[in-house]
Amino acid sequence: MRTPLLLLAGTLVLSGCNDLISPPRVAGYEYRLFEARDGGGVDTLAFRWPRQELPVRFWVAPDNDLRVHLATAITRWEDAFLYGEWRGTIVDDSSAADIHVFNRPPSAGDAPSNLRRLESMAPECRGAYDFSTNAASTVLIRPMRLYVWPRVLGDAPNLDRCYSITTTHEVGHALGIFEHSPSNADVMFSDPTLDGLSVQDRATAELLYHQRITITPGPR
Amino acid sequence: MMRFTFVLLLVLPATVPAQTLVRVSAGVTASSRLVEDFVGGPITVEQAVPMPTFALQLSHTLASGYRLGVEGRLTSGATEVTDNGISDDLGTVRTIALMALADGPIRGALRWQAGIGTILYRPAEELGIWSRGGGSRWLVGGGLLWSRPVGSVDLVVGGRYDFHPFTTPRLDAEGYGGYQAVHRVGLTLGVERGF
Repeated sequence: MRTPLLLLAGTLVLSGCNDLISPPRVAGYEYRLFEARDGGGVDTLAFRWPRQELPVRFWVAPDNDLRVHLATAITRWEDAFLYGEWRGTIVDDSSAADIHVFNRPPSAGDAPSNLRRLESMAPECRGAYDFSTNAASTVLIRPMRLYVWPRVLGDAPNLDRCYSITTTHEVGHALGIFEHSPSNADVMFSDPTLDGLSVQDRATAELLYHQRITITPGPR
Repeated sequence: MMRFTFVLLLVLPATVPAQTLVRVSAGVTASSRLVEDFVGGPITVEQAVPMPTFALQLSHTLASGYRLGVEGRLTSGATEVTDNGISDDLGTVRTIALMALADGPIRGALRWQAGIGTILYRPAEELGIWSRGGGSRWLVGGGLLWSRPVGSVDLVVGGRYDFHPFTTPRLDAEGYGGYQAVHRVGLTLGVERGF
């Protein structure tokens, strides 16, 4: 009877001291927004959604062409994280949403005070996002807004693919990657062609969600 | 199914010498951490304790008094991530441990038990480390059993320790090497019946 127990104990002692070994981390690109400050100097703006705010709630009109691309974009970015640091969902009630998504260009009525806007373009469509903060640039005023719209009238041959790329790009901004990647191999490039996420896109998102931030979401 | 087996154990008459034993048990299991990582700060993943546990075991008594058997053991618990001190829930994960077990007498109503098998992780949601499923790994374990006759069945109290190396298909795909040593302890109360 002693032999199997000793074998069991030996196995446990030999195998019980191991740990997972993390792979080397890939360097990401700059995600922070550097903003000229009134009276001189530069403000560094960094934002992410805290865990207690997850899942981030997106609203898009139920019958809109972007809905399917938004769902794909959310899944892509969720999959960039290993520990569920960011999650998103689509809601039907726009008043309960953190982010509004529109299939049109931004208009003058979309521009509240302290607005930041960054645009991107692909051959068949364009995208933009904007967000505003309090005067001290420390609190995000909800909702953020994402815009994706066609550059030509009608159904261009690759419009669906362009919507997919550009919606993924704009959702990347919404999760806190405020700047564009310098590499055209990334979906966060200013004129993106990658229909998905690159290793650097994923690494940047992971880095962002484990660094200090300067902007926190305000009340709903 | 468990309830049906339990009722069957209580209702069927014990008319033949006990050669084959059936035991159903319920209890709790606690597990050590599944992942310890560092990304800008410490991150741990663990299953919330205590995890409800259900087990079904079939065993055969040998002439020597030792028993050989097989067991299925199910646990269920939330996956908790602690990221820089903030906790979050990655959804429920069930584990199914299938083991071949041997047990033998120690003294009186006390018996030892040891075995090997496999453990399967079944996440309810494909998220984070579970985004490519849970996978399966080998498992070794052992424990103590104490039984007492109550009517036509035996009441059995069991303490179990088991060990398995943990990783997931997603962690493998991300280039994580090695594995996390996971230790679990369980306490169950069950009824056993010979046929």
